[in-house]
Amino acid sequence: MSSCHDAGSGPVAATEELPRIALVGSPNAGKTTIFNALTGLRAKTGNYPGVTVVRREGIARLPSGDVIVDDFPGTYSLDPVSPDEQVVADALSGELSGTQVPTAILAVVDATTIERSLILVAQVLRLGLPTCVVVTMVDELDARHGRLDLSRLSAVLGVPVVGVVATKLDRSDRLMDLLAQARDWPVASVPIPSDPEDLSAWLDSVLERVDHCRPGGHPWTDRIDRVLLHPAAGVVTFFAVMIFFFQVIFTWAVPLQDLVSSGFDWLGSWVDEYVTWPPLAGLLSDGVIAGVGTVLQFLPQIILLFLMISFLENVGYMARAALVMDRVMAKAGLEGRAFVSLLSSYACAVPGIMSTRTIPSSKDRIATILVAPLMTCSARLPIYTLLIATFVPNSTVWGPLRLQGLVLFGLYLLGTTSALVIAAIFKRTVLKGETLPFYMEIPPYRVPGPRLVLVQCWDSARYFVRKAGTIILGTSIILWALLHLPVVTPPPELNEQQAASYQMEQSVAGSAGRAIEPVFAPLGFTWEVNVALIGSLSAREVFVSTLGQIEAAQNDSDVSIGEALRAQTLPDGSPAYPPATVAAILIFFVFALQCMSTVAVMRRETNSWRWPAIAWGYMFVLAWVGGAVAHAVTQALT
Amino acid sequence: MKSTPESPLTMDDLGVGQASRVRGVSADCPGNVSRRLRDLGLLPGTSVEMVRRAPLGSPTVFAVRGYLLCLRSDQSRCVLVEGPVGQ
Repeated sequence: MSSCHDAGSGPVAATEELPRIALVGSPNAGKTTIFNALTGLRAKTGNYPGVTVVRREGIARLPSGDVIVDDFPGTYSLDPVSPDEQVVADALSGELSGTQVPTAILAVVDATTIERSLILVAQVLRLGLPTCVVVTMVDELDARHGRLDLSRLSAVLGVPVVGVVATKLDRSDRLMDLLAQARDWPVASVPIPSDPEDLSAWLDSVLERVDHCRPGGHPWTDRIDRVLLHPAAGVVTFFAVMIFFFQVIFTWAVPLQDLVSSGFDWLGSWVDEYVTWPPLAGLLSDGVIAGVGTVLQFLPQIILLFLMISFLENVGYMARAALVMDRVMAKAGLEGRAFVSLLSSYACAVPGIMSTRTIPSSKDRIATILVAPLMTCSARLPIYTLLIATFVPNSTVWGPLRLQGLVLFGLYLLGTTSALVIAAIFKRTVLKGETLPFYMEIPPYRVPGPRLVLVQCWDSARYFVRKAGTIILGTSIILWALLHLPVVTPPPELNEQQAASYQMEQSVAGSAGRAIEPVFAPLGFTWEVNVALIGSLSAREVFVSTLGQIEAAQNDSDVSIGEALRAQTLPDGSPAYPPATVAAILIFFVFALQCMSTVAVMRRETNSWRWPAIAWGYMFVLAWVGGAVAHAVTQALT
Repeated sequence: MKSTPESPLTMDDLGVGQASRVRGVSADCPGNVSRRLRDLGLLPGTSVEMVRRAPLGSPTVFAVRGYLLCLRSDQSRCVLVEGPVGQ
């Protein structure tokens, strides 16, 4: 069964009977589509020992029996130019301890780029393992008036060659029959030159013998790129796509969000009516429903965003985005593909971090992973919208611009700018090192297979759902318990609200909140904020539901959380949430890493606890210092 | 543009729409870069065409062996080409 929280990095325990087929090919060749078609959702993700390279493997259920499919990272060459690539090359030749040499290799090549892909095929053949070549995009080659004789290619190379349309792969494909006989695939004995001049001549002669005719340009690609990559129109279109992206986050998903939210409200009132035992009613409505509901109401939005990102990636747009932004990213010591990962992190850092697998340089990869959580993810929105709506006046600043919107935009800008600055710092200090050459293929625009888009969307969404179902549920229940235990008898002179407040202050959570008051005193945090903050270390959304719980208990039921926060005072009568404190909370949330899911993904993608620890540490320091500065500055100004 | 021994023509010198043939990878180029450039299809005799620059000026998109490859100046300067053909 698929599992995304594998602690180990070892391969599937192979028995003698199960053949292990290595899937090798360049990015954009349709390799992942084939892998998904073969293994469905039965794929496991792990790491190669000692490096940040991710390995994916799964079981293909063929009529003739099961087969292990090892999806190697997309590559243009088996001649390594980095330590990461060295490990992958070793894994293929069986020289990597802890991995077995594959039984056979399935080389995946794109028919439309065969003139280049043959170089990789030559390298694969030199490995001396049973090999089969699968040629994808044969329909596109035909549509673009290209030509390639697969049976002649098979004769020239000395290995089976089969053509497929990767998105339409099914049981009847000849590829399936071939996979069943993987052990019998021939080992090529054709000598292939490695000297560049000789290799060039060899390629020319092979291409001639297989009746190769280069396909014409992809009809729509050139037309669209002339706009999208035009110096002026390109940048404008780019921002239009970005704005569209954010429209989806802020406006279009709202009806769905409201639907889920009112569903949970209904559930809450149902509990109030039918669950008679007060502690259980409290646990269910304040702990479980409020906690989980806060997260799940964002699920429609999140899924929509993941779908969009996955679609844009697979249609080929993200490569253009990387192309446009490469120059800006280079100033931060990164590259264009890092921008795509950071962009995805606006939805959620988890898929953003996973998408760094396309970045060849491991130092660039780690730098991007370390700053991805600074991109304003959607989990911060409940906190931002609550605090901004409650404490920031909606006054007009200039024309249609209002203060509330401007503050929100400012928070986004702060997150984004600090991500780039900190990445630059990391790349100049801790992650300094030999840089890899930058190169990137720009694929033609292609309509992605729906299965690929959905599988990738689910890959990311599953983390989000799991977060709601386990981390947030667990934290909410625990927090509820800690806020209501131990049960104390309040002094008789207190009224109902004051008694509830007293109970919470004396509870385990309340005591902890007051105990760490000195730590957060420079930020102006009250004990309630401290308690909510501790809870939100597991997931940011818990902050709002915890604060909501505390405020609801201390006030009449018809007082909204915003009103409660505004009205709350400290023992000396001054407001508990002056502008300085609100500013400090907002800035704290811009920087702090408060998400166990993100930490877990960081650990998996970097194959160690060191980088998640560094990330958490530096972000906490930034958050604390930033909050203290914000508090001091705001206090001086108000 | 003419390629001379003192200032050999490189891919970086090609203007939009200009095509040429690869002569080889410069000896000044670091080993890992030249190996990667060769494996990307920039072999002696390969024809290359400069398609466009990115909107912000870098990197540059080239048509090579039937696909689009983008390179930064640092890399395209490593590939020596013949005098350009056509516009």
